[in-house]
Amino acid sequence: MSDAESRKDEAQPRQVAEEELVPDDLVTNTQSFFSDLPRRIGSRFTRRAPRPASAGTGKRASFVDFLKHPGLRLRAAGSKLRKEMDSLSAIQLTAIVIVFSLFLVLPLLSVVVFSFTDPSTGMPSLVHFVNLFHDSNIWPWQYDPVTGSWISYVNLQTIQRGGDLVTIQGWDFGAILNSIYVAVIVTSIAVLLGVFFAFIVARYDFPGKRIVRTVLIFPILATPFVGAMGIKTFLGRAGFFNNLFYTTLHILPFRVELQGLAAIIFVQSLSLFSLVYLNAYSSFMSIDPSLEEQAENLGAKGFKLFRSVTLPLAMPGIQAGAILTFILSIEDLGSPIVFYGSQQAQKTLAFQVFKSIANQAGTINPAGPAIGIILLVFALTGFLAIRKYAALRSYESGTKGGQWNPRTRRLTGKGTLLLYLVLIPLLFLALIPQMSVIILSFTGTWSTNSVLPDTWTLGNYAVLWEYPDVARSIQYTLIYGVTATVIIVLLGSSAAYLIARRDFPGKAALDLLVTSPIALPGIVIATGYFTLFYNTPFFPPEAPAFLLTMSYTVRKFPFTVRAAYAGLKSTPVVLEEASQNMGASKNQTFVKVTLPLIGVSVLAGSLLSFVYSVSEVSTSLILGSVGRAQAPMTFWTREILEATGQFGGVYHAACLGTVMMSMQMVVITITNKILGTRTSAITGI
Amino acid sequence: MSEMEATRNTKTILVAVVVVALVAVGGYIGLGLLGNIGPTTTGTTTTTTTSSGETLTVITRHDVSILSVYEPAFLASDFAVSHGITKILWKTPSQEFWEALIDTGQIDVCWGGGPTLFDQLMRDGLLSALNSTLMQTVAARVNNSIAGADMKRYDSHGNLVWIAAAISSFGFTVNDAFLTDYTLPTPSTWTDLAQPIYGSLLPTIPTIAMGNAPDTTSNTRIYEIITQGLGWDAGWSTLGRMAGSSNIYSGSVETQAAAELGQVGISMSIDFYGYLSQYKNPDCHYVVPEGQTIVNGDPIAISNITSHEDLAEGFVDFVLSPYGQSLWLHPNIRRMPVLRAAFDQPLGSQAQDLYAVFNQTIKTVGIDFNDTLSLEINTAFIYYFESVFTDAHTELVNCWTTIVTEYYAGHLNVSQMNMFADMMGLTVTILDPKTSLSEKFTIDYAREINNNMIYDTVYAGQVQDLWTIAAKNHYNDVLSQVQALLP
Repeated sequence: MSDAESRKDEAQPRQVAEEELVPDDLVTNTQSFFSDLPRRIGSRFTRRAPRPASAGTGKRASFVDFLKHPGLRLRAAGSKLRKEMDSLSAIQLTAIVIVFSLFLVLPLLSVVVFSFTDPSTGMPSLVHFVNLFHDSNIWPWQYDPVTGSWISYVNLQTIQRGGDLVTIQGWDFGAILNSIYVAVIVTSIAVLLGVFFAFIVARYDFPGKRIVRTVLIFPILATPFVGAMGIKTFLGRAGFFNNLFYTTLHILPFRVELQGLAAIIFVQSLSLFSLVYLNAYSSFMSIDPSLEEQAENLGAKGFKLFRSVTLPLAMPGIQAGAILTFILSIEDLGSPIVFYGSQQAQKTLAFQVFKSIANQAGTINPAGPAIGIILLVFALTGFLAIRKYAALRSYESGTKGGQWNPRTRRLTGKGTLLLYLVLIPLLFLALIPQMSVIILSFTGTWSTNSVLPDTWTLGNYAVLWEYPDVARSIQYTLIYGVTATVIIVLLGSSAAYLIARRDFPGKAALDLLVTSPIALPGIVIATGYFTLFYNTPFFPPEAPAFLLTMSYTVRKFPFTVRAAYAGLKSTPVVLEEASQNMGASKNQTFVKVTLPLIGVSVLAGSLLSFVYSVSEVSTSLILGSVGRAQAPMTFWTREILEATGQFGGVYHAACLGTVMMSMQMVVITITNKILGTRTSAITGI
Repeated sequence: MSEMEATRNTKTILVAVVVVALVAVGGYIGLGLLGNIGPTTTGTTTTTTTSSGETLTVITRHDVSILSVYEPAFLASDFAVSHGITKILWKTPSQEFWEALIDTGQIDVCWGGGPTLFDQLMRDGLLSALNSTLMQTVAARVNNSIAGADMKRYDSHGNLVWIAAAISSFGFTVNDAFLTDYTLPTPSTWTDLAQPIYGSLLPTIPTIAMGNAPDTTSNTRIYEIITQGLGWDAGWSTLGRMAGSSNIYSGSVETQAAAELGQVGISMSIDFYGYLSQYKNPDCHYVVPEGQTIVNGDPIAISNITSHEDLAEGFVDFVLSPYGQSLWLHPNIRRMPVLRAAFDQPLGSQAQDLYAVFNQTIKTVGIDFNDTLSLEINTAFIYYFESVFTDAHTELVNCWTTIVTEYYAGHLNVSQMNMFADMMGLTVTILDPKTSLSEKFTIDYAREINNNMIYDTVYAGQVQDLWTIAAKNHYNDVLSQVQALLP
């Protein structure tokens, strides 16, 4: 056989293999992945293009049919609802609808209704929405009636140098587009980092893994107000980094400062990647190892195995993390306030809502809620887009009711070194808000050009017993957080179950409803609470405890719902069907089969709900200010931050921040201890 | 199945849920117990009669350090004891909720938050006339004005509606390390801040921190004083230069923090925050501008729909008594009383440093401030500031940077630099959305549109958008003119 013939013979089986099993190496797979990318992207559009059209046609036809025979269709929907809803599901659905109607929809409507009204005529109108597009900071392309031309206020200047400082900022396309592009970049970075770390921790053993698993959750620990001051203390012109590398060590030839949207992207990416990590880790841990083993037996290894088997199986968790990241990025108000000094940071939707509502003029501008509606639409569009894309790439892995012993491999010495070289700087940056809050809480005095405080003290913590309400707020915060989390777990797993397992009219609407709270600017809901409920049994004067708890329940609900939904998507429905075939009722199946199967995911979500509940800002501030005796810690952190005298200011407020973080950690640890070994799948502790 | 761990079962989940629920139930029981120990949560009327006595409700912007000193002192006073007052309910909402709360009839006393807020309450008819003999006696203890600032306010019918209960001075906090790093001079007056030297590090390093007017009443008062003291056009020109050399921050706390953290060299400051920064960062010190001291009287007033006016008057009397005034000098507050007699009290004798500052403040001839004008144009004023400085900041800084850079490069002489700076600071002209007339932002125009800016949010939004676009185009136009002159 000639060389040419033998090469030809070798080539033929390879072609077959590429189409079927592909037993090749990492390099080849990576190359084929990228070289094949354009074709696959193109084929997605060409292949799937007719789908939306047909779906649209179907929906239109269905809508027309509904209009033609409304009574018939309604009866059919009612009959379907009755068929799908057993007693448990009906109770679950009713409870969710009541809670969300009372504590989300009504307060929202009470504020938003003004956005759809023309105040001069009192008639329904979109005037507030139209006017937004005349604001050059929201929409940067403006028509000049005098010159008859369009003027652009887009600013693409990103790097500036002057004095001893180099500043880096983002592109400025006005608040609407800025919010979208920032959220897309942040979600991409968070998914890359989160999936990378989740995969490494789930599949490799290396020295210090237990610590790394724990520390990777820390970036989600939030400390409102003081965290912001901490970020400035580290990243500012005279912050820790510049004072260390420029002023003290003279390593850098100039100071560097991130400003505006670049700073927001940096801070958000490094805090939100933990959300993806947490959810992706749960998914990686629940993958049936036999599936990967089968793939390996068939020749898939390395990146090919990861891309074609592991990643699709982990997609529900990654999707949940990505959705939360996208929405939280668009909704984030904290970062724009931190970097307010650079005008670009003010050009985000969340900040524009805040600006319209909170000011000394004493009036609430209806434009604020109008921007909030736009923000909600974008956030939910992102949610639907991510869910649709991820749904196309996800598969049920079949956990079969148990937790798998993970397929872990030992990382080589070189690999471990490389991992830590990436991990340590990244974690250091990600933990700036948390570290700086702890440092600030022990600071006596801190000079401008000093890397660390000049003097240290424990005395700042005296603020905890100086004001009785401050100490009491710690207990209240814990009670509100735990109570809200218990309700969230009960209702959240119910909601996820209904969405994932039942087919009833309005299911998609329910899905959007229970996910929307994190996409709604808190200040809009909080204002709605005040307007609607103050001086009613829900919110008696001086007693905001109940409303605060319900506010946390509703606003932090989506974390648990999305996690539980991801859990259900990873669990084959056949297990529940088997249970029912064996004679169990739907109720018994839900309690004895479904809940235990998704328990780990629900707990992962509920921890996020708890952590974000105790650090909730908007309703805590507004409701706390008129019921100080029952106000939570976030309210008192702000009070202490703005207070004068020897117990006022950022160093004392940082003590409350540190206590809040400790509390969050204690609850996470207790939960883990209770659940023993199973918790490794939740938080890695 | 060897790969399955045996631990997955319902029990663990149930145990977790039960434990968490127990914690919650325990918490609620604890809450109940705390409720019994701590402040009661009953009461839906203004002055609530609890089982043990009367409750006074005070709405305030004062912070916890002040409230925690005043509450026990007042409750221990003869007046409180004789009238059975056993509790003060403090309400501390942000400004946008004040009127709604007062309207509920639950507020007795309004205290602290600056003259602008109280003038707005007066304008909307929410403050009671202080005409009783007791209130007239109390008012007589307070000077009519201090350093040019009114300490009492009368409504259009000549009724006294608020009295200053404390004074604050305005100046700037200077970060010496920052100024030394960049060899910048220490400013001593407001007008110093308009000098091009403070823009010499632009565009990357702004040297001043200013608060956005709609977000900070104290900084707004500074801007009002500058436009009143220097004249409308020169004042706005000065503010334009200052804003060009500044980072603009939201509230007064953030503005203050900028100097404290070394982000900038100078920040607009209210005195007590200035002294706090001085303590926390040894590089900082508070500067009282020479001959341009601005003093604010921080008001106390009574709600016009309180049903317990006698108790409210008793509280006002207490706060404005020499003893009540001396509480401002408590080590945990250290703010300036409005009565000199406070320094004769035991707490006063321990605060001789504050006495020196007090004497310096009241002797200083400050800028004579027209409160009536401020009230007539305040809302238009703050929104104009936001529109042309905060919302057009990128274009403003570009323009000012070019003027300053070319001045220091020798391409512009002093008079050219001043000419372009003045041009940059000119107030802008827009087509008014209601009248379609071309309107420059003058005092008269501000006065004319002020009510619409308060009550017609659509109009206010449209006007702000127009001001911002006009300002951006104006700054870009001045920039083009400067660039046209360059070699």
